[in-house]
Amino acid sequence: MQVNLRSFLRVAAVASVLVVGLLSSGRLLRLTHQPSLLDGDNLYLARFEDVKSALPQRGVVCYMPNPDGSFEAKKHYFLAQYALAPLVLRPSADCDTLLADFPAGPAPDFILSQQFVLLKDFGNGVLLLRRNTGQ
Amino acid sequence: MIRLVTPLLTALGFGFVFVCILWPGQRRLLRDLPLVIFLSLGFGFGISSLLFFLWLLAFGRAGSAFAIFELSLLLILSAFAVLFRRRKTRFLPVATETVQARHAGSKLEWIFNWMGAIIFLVTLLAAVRAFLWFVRGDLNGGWDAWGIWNLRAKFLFLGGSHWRDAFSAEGSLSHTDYPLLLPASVARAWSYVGSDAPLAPILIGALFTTATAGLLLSSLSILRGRSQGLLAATVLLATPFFIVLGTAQYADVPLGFFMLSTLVLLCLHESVAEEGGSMLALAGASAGLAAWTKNEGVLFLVCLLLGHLSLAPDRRNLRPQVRQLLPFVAGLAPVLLVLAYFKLHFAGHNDLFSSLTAALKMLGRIARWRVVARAFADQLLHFGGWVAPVTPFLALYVLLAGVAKPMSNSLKICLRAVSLTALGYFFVYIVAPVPLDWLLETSLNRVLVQLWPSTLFLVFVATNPFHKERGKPPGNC
Repeated sequence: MQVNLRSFLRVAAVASVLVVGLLSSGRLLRLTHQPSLLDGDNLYLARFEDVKSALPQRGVVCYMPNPDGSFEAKKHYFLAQYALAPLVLRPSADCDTLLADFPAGPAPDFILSQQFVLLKDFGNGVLLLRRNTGQ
Repeated sequence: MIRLVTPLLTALGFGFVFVCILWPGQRRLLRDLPLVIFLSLGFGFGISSLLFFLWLLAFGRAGSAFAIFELSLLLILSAFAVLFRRRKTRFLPVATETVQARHAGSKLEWIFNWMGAIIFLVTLLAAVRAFLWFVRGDLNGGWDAWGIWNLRAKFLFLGGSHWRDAFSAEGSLSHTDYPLLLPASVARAWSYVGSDAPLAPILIGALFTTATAGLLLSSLSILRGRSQGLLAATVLLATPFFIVLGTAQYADVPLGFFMLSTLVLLCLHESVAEEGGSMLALAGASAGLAAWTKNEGVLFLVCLLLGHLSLAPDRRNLRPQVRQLLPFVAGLAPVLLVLAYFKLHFAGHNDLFSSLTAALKMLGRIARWRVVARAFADQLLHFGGWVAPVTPFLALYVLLAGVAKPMSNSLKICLRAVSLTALGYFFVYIVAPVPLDWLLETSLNRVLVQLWPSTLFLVFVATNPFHKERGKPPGNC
């Protein structure tokens, strides 16, 4: 009798694992009936398509994200780096060519102050700047 | 699409040839075909990524010449494999099925197998549908895909002769010390296609996810019976986070594959009482490829060696233990040499380990131990994104079914290796000089997924089956 109870419990334990598994699979299936999430990263990457032709294919270009230092700004740097690789993006403003990336709105005023000159506005907050040498 | 299929099939071809050459002569290839194919997938990506990296080192860029080289090499190796295999099997008797008796099962066994198969198919369909749904919502994968793995692949493919910029210190490129199995595999596929098509990393992720589940199913079917294999594979495919991570294009699922394949090959080596140790050589190559996939693979390799050496009862008996390792080392060495070259010449610093002094200082902070222990305990219950915690049920199953005694040496090594690796992860969290909460939140569930397929393999290979199945006694791997 004890042996039977033990085998019954063993099968019950396996059945419990399978039930939890099936429930989890069911939840996954229910999820797939919802419309797919908007692929925000892909849209973000597409913003850099036009600027590629204006940049060198390789080397280093400076990159200026939103200066708030937020998590989003960090994410945008890595997405921009992925979009423009094999060009290396340096997250600083000490190069002659500077890529400014402000997806949320217009570039802050200090960007277009005496320090940098706008070369081209590619729209969607992507700007190509050049250091102002005074010439 | 056809252009994309070619590099994937070529990779599979390399893996198949490699496994065929080293598969023990006394085992029939056709009978083990599902297992051989799933192993070949992983080995194929491993070998072709090594070839791609060596090609870049030698010639600077990979174009159509690389594809021609690979296809020619594959043809030559295939011819060699056929001749070698024929010669190897000519004088060897084919092993009688010691692993699993193949006679007709009882009615109960038949019912369990069918029920298991139906539940497995339902889970598989849900997993495939979920995979496609997640991919549609995130074509470029998760943060680490475009921040590390595929980014590096872009440098290797689009960088031409400047591919070394992938490790440049000029920008803020992260984790430049990570090894190249995944980036080189993606870049290699792109080099065949001629563009950085997002489908390549998606397909590679899908193949590793499939191969992991397939390997679990086919290996346990051989070692412990089909119902155990189906059960383990069902649990794996029903783990939501395993599927999500498969779509994320990260290296965690491939690493999990190589950890699992190493354990499977070690167990098979002992179960077939193989002579010559070619299965051990395959296990060594697999462990090497784990290290070539992610840094955690190096930790796994060290734990595996420690697990093996710990079998020696005392220091005087260490020498025979080391001698047994020779075929394993023979398979491991070529991969390890390439990895060492990469680490010495390209890899940047490791952000999880700054210095011994800093690590010791971190070890002394009791609060960190508390936080990490709590996070691990929490994951034990909530790991995997299940509807309800599955680990208590699995633990109950192990308790009721009982762990087989005496345990084979391979199984002891595998259990010790996985336990030591988990312990190693615990200590990495303690000593890592980065914000602990952030590190735990962003990585603990991922590193546990690396160990999940191996854990399921060990659970189902070490315990008695849930119904009496005709086969080899448990524990004898």
